[in-house]
Amino acid sequence: MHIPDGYISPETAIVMYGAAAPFWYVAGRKIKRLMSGQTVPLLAIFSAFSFTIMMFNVPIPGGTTAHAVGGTLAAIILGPWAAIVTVSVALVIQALFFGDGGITAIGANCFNMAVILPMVGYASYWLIARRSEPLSRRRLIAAGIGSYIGINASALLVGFELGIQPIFWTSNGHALYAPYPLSQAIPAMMLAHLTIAGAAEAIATVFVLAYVQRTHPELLFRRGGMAAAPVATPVPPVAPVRRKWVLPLIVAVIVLAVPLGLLANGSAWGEWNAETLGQRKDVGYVPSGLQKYESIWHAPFSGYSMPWVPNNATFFENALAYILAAVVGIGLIFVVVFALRVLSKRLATEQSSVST
Amino acid sequence: MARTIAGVAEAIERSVYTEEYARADGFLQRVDPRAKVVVFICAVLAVGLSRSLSVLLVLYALTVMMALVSRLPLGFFVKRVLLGVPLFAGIVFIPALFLIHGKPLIQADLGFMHLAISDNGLISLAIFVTRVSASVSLAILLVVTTQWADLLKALRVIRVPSVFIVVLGMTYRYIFLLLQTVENLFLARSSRTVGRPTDAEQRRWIGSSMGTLMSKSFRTSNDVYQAMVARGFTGDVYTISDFQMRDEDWLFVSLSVVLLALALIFDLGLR
Repeated sequence: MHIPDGYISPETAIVMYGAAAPFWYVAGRKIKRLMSGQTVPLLAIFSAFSFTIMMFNVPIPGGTTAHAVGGTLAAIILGPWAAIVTVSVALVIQALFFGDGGITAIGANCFNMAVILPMVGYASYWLIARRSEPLSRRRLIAAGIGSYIGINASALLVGFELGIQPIFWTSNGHALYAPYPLSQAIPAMMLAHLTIAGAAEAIATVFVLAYVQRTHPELLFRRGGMAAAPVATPVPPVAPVRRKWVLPLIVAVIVLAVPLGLLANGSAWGEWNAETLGQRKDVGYVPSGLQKYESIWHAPFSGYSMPWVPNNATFFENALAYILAAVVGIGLIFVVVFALRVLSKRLATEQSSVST
Repeated sequence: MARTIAGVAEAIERSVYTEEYARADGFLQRVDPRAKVVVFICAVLAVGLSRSLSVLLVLYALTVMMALVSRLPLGFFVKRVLLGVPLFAGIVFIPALFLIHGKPLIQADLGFMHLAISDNGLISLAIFVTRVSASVSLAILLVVTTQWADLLKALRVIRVPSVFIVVLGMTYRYIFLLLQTVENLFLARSSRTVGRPTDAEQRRWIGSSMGTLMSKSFRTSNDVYQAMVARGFTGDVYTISDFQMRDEDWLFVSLSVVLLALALIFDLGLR
């Protein structure tokens, strides 16, 4: 269920990061309140636990084995917010270090497996369990069904994310990312998860919960995982770090504003830019970078079409071309400046070593 | 059971190798981790956005070059990359070859159905596999040439809150403790097992060992918390950033960004 790099378009990946971010934020705040000072070690070790759980091969009736995610289990025992964080951390480490799931797809994978899976799984569990005794059989059944629904909701989402790729991102008839449309991606995902992976998840959840009921029932009576521990008075924070992002921000705004000229019929773009930048004395080298870039680009810029961009290019593509050109221009200035600095430093050290 | 043990052992072994390469004296190992993170993000975006096969191939070639100047053995790099995810991606793609329409290149009539591989299908396959290879290579390049602790600290540049960074770092450390615990659990069990246990027995046992691991985790986190408090932990997290961006690092960042932007411009032209 881990989506690797290159299967989804960058646009999808960014949207999925955006979808997961609010959950991470809220989860972070909730946990801080619930668990006070113990947050850091508890989350760390339970993330490690989530990671390890995903390595277990669970035998399934029929002779195969599969991995469980354990998101619903974590939600039942730690609470849904803590589950979001621990499964997310485990997924990030899997992606960064063990190559399971892509780095660009971390947002998507976390949203599918660390947000939707425990949320849906826990909600179903809660609906079925209601006010039954924490040690009752009904809780086990609820956990089994909940985890099964959770992982299948997550699989449906993965199928959807992969399935929309060929719809939105094809060029000249060939697929750019995952090639299967919705009608094939969703059934493929669901077939695997309604049977094998769903069974593994339900089995793992039920058996672990049964074990916890039997041997560590106290874990099921504590809400939020741990009793609050006394926290010492916090040390006043050190002086805030000086913000250094003002200049980069200005540069970024200018670069992104470059294609605005396109709105003014394209032809007036060069003048518009020089005029505005001429008034900016505060950014030193930037105008020279843009001027240089203008002179590079003005010469082949005949009529209204850029030489490298096809005539039928969309507005977005034209804008992208301008931004990229600006990036190249400013980047080249940086390259020259730092290459000179490195060179002069090398020369200086050589001379000093010669003289000594 | 044996499969889980093998998986655990492989994970530990892999991490040991990786740290070894991170300590080698290569080009990327000397670059400031923050510079690497920034360039990595730009490169992944460029690989994700480009649509032409030739640009993707050039980007992939650049990645392999980076691996070479970073003294990663080519065999390790190519093997770990190509035999993993891209091979899988290629296999996953095979049915799609017959589904994408275009000018047919190879055709076969099986009587009950007509199979054809089109030019569009082949191009799609090539683009897909190259893109996946390049993305995966980039990720491996970043991770393998950077010490884990440095990489985490470098995530500060993209505004990851320090609490998350500390949690990630601690998680990574305790993963090995837990993996070792699992290995011991499984070894102890299999050394006392005669014959082949039924599936039902195995399921029960797997469930119990997960539960054991969970209660151990609770105990450990309690102990670790006490130990942290004893050493002055108050619930707030501070990280020391002792990185220095040198001129060479800035040069690396700007040069990479220029190259990547140029690649994308060419890509736009080839659309």
